[in-house]
This record gives sequence, structure tokens and C-alpha cells, in this order.
Amino acid sequence: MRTVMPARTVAREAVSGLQHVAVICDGQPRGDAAGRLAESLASATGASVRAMTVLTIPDPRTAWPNDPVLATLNAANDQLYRVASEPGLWRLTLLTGHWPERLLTVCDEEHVELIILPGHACDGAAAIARACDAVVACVDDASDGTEGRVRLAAPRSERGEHLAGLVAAVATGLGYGVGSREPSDARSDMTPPDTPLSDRTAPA
Amino acid sequence: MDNRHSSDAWDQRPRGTAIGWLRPPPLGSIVVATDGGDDSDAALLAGAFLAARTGAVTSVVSVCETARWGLRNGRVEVAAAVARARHARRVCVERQVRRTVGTAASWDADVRAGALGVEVAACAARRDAELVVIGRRTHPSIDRVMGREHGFRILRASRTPVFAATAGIAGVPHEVVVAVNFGAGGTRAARLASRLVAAGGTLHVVHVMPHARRRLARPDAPFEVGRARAQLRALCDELTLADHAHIRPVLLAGDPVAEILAFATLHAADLLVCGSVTAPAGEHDMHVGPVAGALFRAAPCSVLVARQPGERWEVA
Repeated sequence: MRTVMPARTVAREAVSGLQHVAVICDGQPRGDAAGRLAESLASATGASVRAMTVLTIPDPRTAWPNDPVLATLNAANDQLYRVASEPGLWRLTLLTGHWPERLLTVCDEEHVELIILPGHACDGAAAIARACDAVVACVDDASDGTEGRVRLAAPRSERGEHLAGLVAAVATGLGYGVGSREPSDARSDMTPPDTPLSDRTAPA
Repeated sequence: MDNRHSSDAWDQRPRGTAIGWLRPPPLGSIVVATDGGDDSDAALLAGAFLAARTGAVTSVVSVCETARWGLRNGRVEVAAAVARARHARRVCVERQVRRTVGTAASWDADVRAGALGVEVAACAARRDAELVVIGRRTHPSIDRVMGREHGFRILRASRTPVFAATAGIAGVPHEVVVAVNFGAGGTRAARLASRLVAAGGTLHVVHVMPHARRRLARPDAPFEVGRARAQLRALCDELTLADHAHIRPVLLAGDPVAEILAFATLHAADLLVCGSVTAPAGEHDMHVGPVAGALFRAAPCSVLVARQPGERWEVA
């Protein structure tokens, strides 16, 4: 008996290159490398970029010197202007609540093929790759004369391996060093991280 | 005199799709031909960018055009000489792949011995490739006489469209000029180009009416211009673009090669696309059309030429 898949699933399974890239912007200068990689990849492959920032709603009972939500938005906005040549073309999405779940929803709706994380916030990259069925690239700042260092985590599937190969080739062509791919079936990474993306105290 | 006949209102028509999951059809396979030298780096980079854009599986082919025999310790060796040359070439190509796109890309490398054009074409046919990517550089005139235009030799032998990438290529093309004469080769080239253009890019579909002065003096000149415009718009309607790329039909008059090169230069084209006929009727099949040949040699940017098997140019 033949299994009939919905058209949306068929479209999801078909590999048609890098069309949609998502990048986590945490507003911190050490996370700029991720934004720069997204900008370079979008420019080289014509992919669209969706910037996402994790918005932590503070406990209203806690005293904050400044408005943390506004500070987070301003920091993300400033980061976009630092890394993007045409920031007006980027779309900024706020991930509120349980951010891994929200990230999964956005990636599923947008059919994101590549998620770029800052190097200091890539805990659980393999789990994110598997959950979102997308390649996850963690970007560290340059230390060896390259533009930066990229570590890839891909879902264990033919499509995932293929996409990881495409990303690796383009990133290397753009001058990034590409490290080996992380296994996506590590036991410690079985679930997406439940902790915040990084030490997300409100930016000063 | 402005010899352009384009409709601005039509140019601004929204093209592409706003549906997120409707995507351009992927390319099946891309073959990158390289000789391991620095001039071929652009081919590997272009292969990486185009593969990322289209989702194609990429492989590398290199051809040693070595002598079929060699001397070692005073003895004639045949197979050993070829094997040595292939081994040296493989080392060179693997080093180049490592340098340009890295080993994580996992590209297959196929090193062959034989005639360059024939072997590359055979490899592309065997892998059912939809595109052959090569590096492109300007050759002195003597190379044309001596048959050292390697890109042209591949173009002659290949039934697969050939993408010749210039040095310094930085990504998939944004400004693409497609020269069409409404033949099968040009249409095939235009369809292929519509799948390669970057998001937000522009596809200029250009038709040049040759012998303009002589034709435009005739009483049926308005009819000819109208027919060309209708054909141009029909072709543009047939093309499907994604990601909000724009398509722009342009009708020019004059010498085809000069007009197209001037248009490409004026618009800072990243890619010049054209079709090519194969040969005058009755001759062998390794001809490239005169316009396509001239554009391939003189274009100021990367070039994509699609030859249409069986389509032959008419000798006046």
C-alpha cells in the first residue's frame, strides 16, 4: 500500500539548497561573528535571513535598573546594524517563552535549512539540529587568520548530510574555517536545552 | 538614439511567489572541471555557491592530457606514465579542493586521462549533470590558434550547459543578462538562468534585432518589432522565478554581439547567458554558434552557454 505524504511534507523533504537562514542575535559583540556569517552566506547564495533574538520577560517583582525588554531589543537592533550591510532586508523575530519550542515552530513554518548560533551559546546544537531538521552552525571568532571558525551539527539523514556539505563548501569558500561535524545522536543532547540561550542578564 | 523597446509598466510586474515553501526546482547534479591551477579556483567557488543555491550534488572532474607513453630507465612505458600523471593530478586537485571548499564538503574527485572536452562531457553525461562549471580567463589570440582555449574545448564537446566563472566570483549572480533568439538553445539557457538568479536579483531577457537599419526601413517593420516583443513577453511569462527576483524583457536593435556586451557592461552583469546552435546542417557536431562563441570569449563577467543538440544554424 502506498503512503501518501502531504504536499507540505514533500516540499520539506525536497532539498533545494539554502533558501532560508536563521541566525540568533543576542546583542552581544562576541556574537557578531554569527551575524556576519549569515550576511556572507545570504549574499553568496541568495538565501533570505531571519534574525531571532531571545526575549526574556523579567519577573515583575524583581527590581531592574532599566527596562530589560527595551534594552534587549536595542542591543539586537544595534547588532543588526553592526553586521548587516542592508539591515532593512533582515526580519527580526522575538523568541519569547520557552525559546527552543518557539525556535522549532519558526523553523518549521519558514522551512529554515540553516540555524546559526553564536559560538558562546551553542549548547545543545546537535539536539536543535535534530529537532528542527536543520543544519546548525556555531561560529567562533577568528583566531587563526580565517574569517571565523564554524562548527556544524547536522541531523542524521541524507538531506541533513547534504545540506551540511553545502554549508561547509560555501563557508570555506568565504574564508571560514570549518571544523568537523558534531554527531547529532549524542546521549547528552537528546533534548533541546531548557536553559536560557546564554547568560541573559539584561544588557547594560 | 535609444534603441531599447521595453515597457516600464510590464517591468514592474511582481514576479516570483510569496508562498514560503514553494521553491525553485533543484538542480540534480553539477560537475566542476578543474586542472588544479589557480585559474580554476573560481570554478570550485562557483560550484559551491550554485550548489548551495540549487541544492545540487557537486563533483569534481579533472582531465590529464598527458602523452600516452613515457620513458623510464630507457624503457618505453605506457600505462605507468598515465598512472603517474593521474596520481600527480589527483594530489593537485585534492589540495585545491581542500583549499577552496574544504574537505567537509565531501566532493567526489574524478581524475581521467584523455581528451579534455570529450572526457568532461562524458563525465557530465554519466553523472546526468545539469551544469558543467569551469574557470574562465582571457586568452591571447595565439591560444585560439594553438587550441589552448580549454574552456572553449569543453564547450564544444559538451551537451550539458557550461558555466564559465570569472576570478573573484563572490556568490550567485544578481544581475543576469540572458541573450535570446527564441531558438531552443536560448530558451533552455533562459530557463536554467531563472533557477540560478539570486533572491532579489534581476533577469534581463534581451533580444537583439539584427540588421536593424535595413529591416526598420521596410514597410512591415512595426509588425516585426511587435512580433519580437510578443515573443519576448511570452518567453518571460514562461519563466518562473522565486524569492522576489525580477524579470525584465529588453528589445534592442543592432549588432547582436556588440549590443549584448554593451548592455551587460552597462548593467554590471554578474552573468551573461546565451544559447548556442551546434553546427550548420551536414557538418559535425562540435561547433559553437558565432554569437555564443564571441560572447563566451569577450564577456566582461561569468558566462553560461547552453547548446541545444540538433539545433543547427542557418547559413545565409
